[in-house]
Amino acid sequence: MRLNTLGVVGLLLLLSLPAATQEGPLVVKLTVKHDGKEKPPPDQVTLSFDSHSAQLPVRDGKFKVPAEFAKAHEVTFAADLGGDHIQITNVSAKLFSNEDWTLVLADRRYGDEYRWVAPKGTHIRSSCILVFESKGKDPATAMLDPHCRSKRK
Amino acid sequence: MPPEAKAAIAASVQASNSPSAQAGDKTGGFHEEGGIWGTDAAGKAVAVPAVPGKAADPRAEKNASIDVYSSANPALKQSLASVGGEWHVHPSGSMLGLDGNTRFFDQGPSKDTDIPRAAGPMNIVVGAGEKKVYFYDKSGVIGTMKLKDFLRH
Repeated sequence: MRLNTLGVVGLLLLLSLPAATQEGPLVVKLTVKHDGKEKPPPDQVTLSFDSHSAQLPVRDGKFKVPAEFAKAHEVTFAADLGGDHIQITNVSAKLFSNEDWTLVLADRRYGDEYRWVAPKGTHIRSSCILVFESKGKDPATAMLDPHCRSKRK
Repeated sequence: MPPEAKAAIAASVQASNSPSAQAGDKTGGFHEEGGIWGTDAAGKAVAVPAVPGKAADPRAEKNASIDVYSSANPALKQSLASVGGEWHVHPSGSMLGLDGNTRFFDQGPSKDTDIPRAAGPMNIVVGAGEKKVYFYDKSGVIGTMKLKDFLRH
C-alpha cells in the first residue's frame, strides 16, 4: 500500500514537471544568416505587441521571452544588424515554443532553398525570412516578410 | 539507387502536391509523403510507400509529420529482406497572409528532427517546392541534386 502511495506521488511529481518547465521563461536561440553565411546575432532584440514592448539582451545567441509576450497573439520582432533595422510583424507568439529561430537575409537573391518562395517582384534587399525549428517538428516552418528590412536610422 | 525507388519518390512528390482525402489536404501541397525501399529475399528492388502524413499548416508551431515505416501496404513491407533507404517529401504549400507575409515549409532536412533521427542506410528529403533532393545522415546534409537530375539519372 505504501509503495502504491509512493508510486502515485512519484507519478504526480512527474506529471507536474512539464507544467513547471513551461512556467519558466521560454528561451529562443537566434541564428543569423546573411547571403548564406552565418553572422553574429544582434546584441538585443525588441519584442512588442499592443502597448507592450521589451528590449531583450541576446546572450550566447539566445534571448529569454517574457511570459506576457509568450501569451500574446502576435508580436513584432525587431533587431538592429549592422546598418540594417529588421522589423518583422505578425509573428505568432506560439512560435516562441520553437526554440531555434534563424533569420535569413540576402542582398540580391536568396539561396535555392528560399528562392522558390519569394513572390515575383519581391525586393529581396527589403525582405527577410524567419525560420522556426524545434525538436520533433518536421518540416521546419518559415515566414517571409517582404518589407522587414530598412536602413538603420 | 534502384529505379523502383526513384519512381516511388517521383510518385510521392506528385502525391504531396495533390489533394489527399486520407491526409486531409484539400488543395495539395500541405502534407508529407514518403516511404522506404530495399530488396526482397530474391534480391529484387522493392519500394514501399508509407501512409501519407496528416495535412499541416505552415503557420503552426507544431507540424504533422510522416512515419515512413508505416507502410500503406504492410504486406509489401513484409516482403523486404533488407532496407536500402528511406525518403519523405517536404510540402510545397505556402500561404500568403493578409499581412503580406508568406508562410511556408522549410524544404531541407530539419536540423532538430530529420538530421538527428537519420536512421536509414540512405536518407532522402525532397523539397517539393524547391524541387531539390537532399541526402543526409546524422552529420548533416551530405549532398543535394535538382529533382529533375535525380529522376533522370
